[in-house]
Amino acid sequence: MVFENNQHEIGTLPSIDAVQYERVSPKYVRARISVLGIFFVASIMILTILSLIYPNYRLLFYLLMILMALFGSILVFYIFKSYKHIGVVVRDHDIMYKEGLWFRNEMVITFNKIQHIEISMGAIERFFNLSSLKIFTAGGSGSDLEIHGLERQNAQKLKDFILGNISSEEE
Amino acid sequence: MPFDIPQRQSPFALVLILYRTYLLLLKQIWPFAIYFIIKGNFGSKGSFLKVFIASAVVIMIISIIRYFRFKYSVVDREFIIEKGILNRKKTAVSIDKIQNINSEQNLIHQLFGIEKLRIETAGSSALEFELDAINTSKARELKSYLLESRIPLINDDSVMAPIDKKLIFKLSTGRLMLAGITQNHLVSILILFSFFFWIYDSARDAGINVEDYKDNIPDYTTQVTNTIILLALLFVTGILISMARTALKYYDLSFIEENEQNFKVKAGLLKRMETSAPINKIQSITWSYNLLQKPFNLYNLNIRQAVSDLRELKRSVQIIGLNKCQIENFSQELYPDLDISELTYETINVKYLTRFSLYFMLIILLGILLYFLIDGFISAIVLVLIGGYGILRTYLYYLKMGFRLDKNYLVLTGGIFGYKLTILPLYRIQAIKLLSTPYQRRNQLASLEIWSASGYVKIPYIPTMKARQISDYCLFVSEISQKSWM
Repeated sequence: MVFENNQHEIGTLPSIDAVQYERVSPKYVRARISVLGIFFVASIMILTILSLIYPNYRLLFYLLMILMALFGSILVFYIFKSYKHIGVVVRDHDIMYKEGLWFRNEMVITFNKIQHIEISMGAIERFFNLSSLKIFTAGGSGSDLEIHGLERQNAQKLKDFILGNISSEEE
Repeated sequence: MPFDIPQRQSPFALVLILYRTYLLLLKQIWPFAIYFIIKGNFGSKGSFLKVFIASAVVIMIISIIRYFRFKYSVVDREFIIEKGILNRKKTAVSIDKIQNINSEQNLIHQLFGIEKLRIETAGSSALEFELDAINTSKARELKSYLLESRIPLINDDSVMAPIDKKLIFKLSTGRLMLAGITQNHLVSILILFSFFFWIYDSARDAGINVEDYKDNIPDYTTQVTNTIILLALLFVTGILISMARTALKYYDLSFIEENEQNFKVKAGLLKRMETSAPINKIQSITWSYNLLQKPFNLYNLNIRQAVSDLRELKRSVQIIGLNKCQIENFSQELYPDLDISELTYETINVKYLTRFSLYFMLIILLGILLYFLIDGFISAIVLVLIGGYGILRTYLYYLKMGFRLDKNYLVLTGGIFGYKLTILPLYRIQAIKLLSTPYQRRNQLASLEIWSASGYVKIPYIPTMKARQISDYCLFVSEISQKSWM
């Protein structure tokens, strides 16, 4: 094979700047808040029972409940705010994902280095008809990517698209 | 077909299995054993002894069964391992998927003339096999049989005739000693110190009053001299331990080019390791030296290969005692289209220095506050020292961190007290992360993490525009590449 190595002006290369991120399903916010809600209700119940069993420490348990409510509302605020910053882009040769409200993380994985792809569904996700897509690369979990909150059929489509691209590149 | 009938390991494997399980048993019960031996009785009618003997016998029977149940074979281009005591388990992997076969010989292996083989495959770690003990001659036979009957990977630019083995580098004893002396001894000294203080503490907890012994020493000067002697002793022992470790690990190190496709490293005195590094599995190389090694022209070379789990990275190929010329020749051979001596490097933004210095300044401030508020002299000193050390580290890191995006390579320099340089061919890149904190975004800065199958390299605090350009270019080169990358 003749080794070709054409020069490319950096300015003309395809740029990440130009892409438009797609959001994941809005139901993802509801799913996350439900998880939080279930956890919250369960802990309030446990604390109530505990305060009935140990009336001497009632004040402590009430304090804990207030703290939990405070912390919970911050989390709810964070879930709402951070949703806008979650985004996915699929291009010809790679998939891009971004997340994070304060500490932002944009990640690109090239299709030709993907090892395998998994779709998973938790109980709550199943209730909302959502799926998570997990993309595995070689060399440990550091460069693996997990995208939560995709519509179930979209996750399957995405998986098929990426797998199709991997096999077409290998030919 | 030499290996189509399922075979057992060498009978010495049984010895090894027994040795290992007994060691495990002993580790579990030694406190009881010592208790009973000191007490001089072994429970009513020696019940403890009976339990001990019974479990030893059971372990022996299990080990024997395990040995006889473990078989390996090569059938229909598949390497097969059968094992299991109650439920038989059969694992097979296609020999084309085998990437590497590494061997290992510790002292017991060397005595019996056997070898441990580790067979590495692409992909999951569940498909990696270990054969505990095989006769050396048979191990060689199996190794060459497996590796040579693989269908060679289609590699367009590698249709070359196999050449004879070429010795690239052999570590002389003199340079081994030199490399041992110039090692970073801090770790072993610290371990020794903490061990010493642990003994001191436990002695006090156990009711031995250490202070009592001090009263026997008459005057203050003798006490000080004794402390200094003790510290010096700990110091020297620490250095000797890490020197000995280096000498044992890298004794008789030789770095061989097996053929156009494969490098091999052999080293070790008590535990003889033989590790191979196929060229298409090498993800990046790093060379480094520390402050002490610099005047002796001693370089360490780390060859990072694709791993299925980052914890395996400690198994990556490490070569010590090279000189600058040998390093440059090797890099030239591995990456012919990169001229390392002519590169200039870009630096990271100065905000990295100011930002992290500020954090450490706050720690120093906290220390000073503590001193004045609660008179905590010791904690103040500790905090000021931590802060000062942090600033020094940040400053040195900032000074030495540099990166250069060449046509096909990313080259990074770095190091804190020493120096290191990493070369990553762009077509090995599998993912790129662009990270930013609110502070970085206010200043149009970002940090870049560039991932290959052997972990990542990081370029912190560069202009966001620059980071995106680097990222775009790296992805472009990686995505158009047709070369096999692991």
